[in-house]
Amino acid sequence: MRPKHILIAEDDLAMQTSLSFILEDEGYQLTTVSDGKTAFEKIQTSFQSDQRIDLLITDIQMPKLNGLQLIKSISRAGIDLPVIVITGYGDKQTLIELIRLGCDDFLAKPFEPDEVCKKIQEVLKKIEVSKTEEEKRYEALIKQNIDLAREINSYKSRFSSLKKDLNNAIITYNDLICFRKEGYRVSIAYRIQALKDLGGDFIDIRDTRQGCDIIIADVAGHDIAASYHTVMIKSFFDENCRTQKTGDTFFQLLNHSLLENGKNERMVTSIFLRVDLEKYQVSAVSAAHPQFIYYDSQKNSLNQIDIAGNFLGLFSDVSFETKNIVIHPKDRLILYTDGIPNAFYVDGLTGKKYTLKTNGLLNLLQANIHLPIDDMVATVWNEIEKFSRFKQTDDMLLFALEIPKTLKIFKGNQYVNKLSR
Amino acid sequence: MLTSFQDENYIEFKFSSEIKMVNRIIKDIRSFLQNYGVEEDSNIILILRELINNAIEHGNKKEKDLIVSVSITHLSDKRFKIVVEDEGDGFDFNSINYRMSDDPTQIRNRGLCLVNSFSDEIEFNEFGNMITVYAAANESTQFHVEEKDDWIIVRPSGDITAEESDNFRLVMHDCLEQKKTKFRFDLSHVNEVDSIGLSLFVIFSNMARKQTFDIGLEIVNANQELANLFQMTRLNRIYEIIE
Repeated sequence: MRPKHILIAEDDLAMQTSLSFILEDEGYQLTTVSDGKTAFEKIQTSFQSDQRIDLLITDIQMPKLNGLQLIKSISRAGIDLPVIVITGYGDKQTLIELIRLGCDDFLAKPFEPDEVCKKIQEVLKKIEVSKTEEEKRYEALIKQNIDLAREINSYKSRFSSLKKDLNNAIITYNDLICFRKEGYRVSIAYRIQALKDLGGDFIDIRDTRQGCDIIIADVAGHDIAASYHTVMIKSFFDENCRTQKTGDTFFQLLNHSLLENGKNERMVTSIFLRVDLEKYQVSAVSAAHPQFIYYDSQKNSLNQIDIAGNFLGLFSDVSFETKNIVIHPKDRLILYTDGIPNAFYVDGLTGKKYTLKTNGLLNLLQANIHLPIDDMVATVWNEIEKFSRFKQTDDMLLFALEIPKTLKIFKGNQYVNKLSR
Repeated sequence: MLTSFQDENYIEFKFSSEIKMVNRIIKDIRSFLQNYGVEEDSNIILILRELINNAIEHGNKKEKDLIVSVSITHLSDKRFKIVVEDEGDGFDFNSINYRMSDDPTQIRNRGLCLVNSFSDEIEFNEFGNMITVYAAANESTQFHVEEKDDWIIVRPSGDITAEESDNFRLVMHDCLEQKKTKFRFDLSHVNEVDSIGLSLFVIFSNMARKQTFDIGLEIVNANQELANLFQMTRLNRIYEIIE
């Protein structure tokens, strides 16, 4: 091991010589200078080479750069060098300043050779220990860093794969629940706005031999589980369109299945409509869904249709009333989810909340019922958005259908026009 | 340059159009908000950041000599009026589309859409260089739980909707942990219970009944609309609704 390299900065030649004698005997490598400026230059040069100075012993009173200035310069240069200061007088202020600057030890003049050697050994040892500790800490930190980086990377990759899965789920979900916008035996128009990518409101329509079946449903929640429920409702609806069971039976089966298959209670509200274009009749069941609106084109009146029925997915014994309505060509049926009557705005100054309510919707419909069905839905929807100041707080769905003037009926194996009554 | 002025229920700042000012002002505004017991200030701070950034960047076009003024007035409870004015030429505020774009890459106009969705009302002056925004600090519903005689009483401080559902679920879970058999929900401060909230009441009763048959479930101080809702959802069969 190479001897420790000590720099002595001392302008008093007698002191410099006596220190040199003592320390040379101890086997240290020595450099002596007699002013602060040269000392600082030596230190800088040594720290740029491999022959680093290990310890500085410096006087306070020196020409060019005094001891205090020298220590400040060293710390400003970011050089980590242990310092022992030779103090000749009991200047308290200087001592405090030295301690603040992080000076490692002091030698009060006059001193014994033994005292010098002891102090130097102590400081060097202290530095050695703290260096080892620091290295250990540093190593531990590096290791921690590597572990952390590994963990983050694994989270990152897990996150991106989760995100990919979720995106796929969303796409699949939307594919599953989407339906074509036209070409049914009745004309339809609708607007839907989902609060989240998954779950929410659901509407579907399917032509049947006599007319068409329609379902609107609102599943509580916006998570993947809610989407599963929606998909289940969709497949039950598809199946029911094929088997043509009554609305009551359909809802009983659906309720049973929601309870059987969902461990967590999940409330569903829904309306099922069967439009019969041969009998000019709509039969409707509701599972506690907001009332739908029937527009009687002959009387030019909007009517809320109240149908008794229980929520789906909560209780095993449920009952559903069936309501039959006589319809005429150009009549309209308007279905919506609770996001529409619950649309609201808050007055900025007072904080008072104003809710659209069903009456608000009825007024909007009344004002626009003369428009073609597409324009009516578009205008009413825009008005609702404006009313709620474009702040969306829930899923919203507005759907309207119009009974056609010319009814197509299924005869033989094709649809033929039937003149309206 | 930065000057400020404070009066009862009012604080105002005027400063040069430099982005570095924003954080300092936000810090002062935060402590102003705290005077009114606002702990959750994220929506108000977000509104302020958007408006101040807009004023500096688009209004004053980063001209350091031009001044931005910001003022906040406390209106009531946790409701505030925020006014931000710049010295720019203003803009055609009638053309703003507040609909949130479905396209996440579209950033144009995003700022004001955000401000709109986090506030209750927005007004502009004639020139479009001064905007007034009304907003209230987000207050989530707290669930106060206490024991009285044999009963555990849960008192929500506000509505029970999807947003509060996680919190409510935890509270219900804690209630069941206590191995009590009588639970009373005091809905005096509740105006709205949505479908998620309703399902939580049903789930809670099912779980409580699994623990013991002899169970007391009560809902008290529900307003008429809620009482109707509970009747419609047949919640009145599993909870005793006490008027």
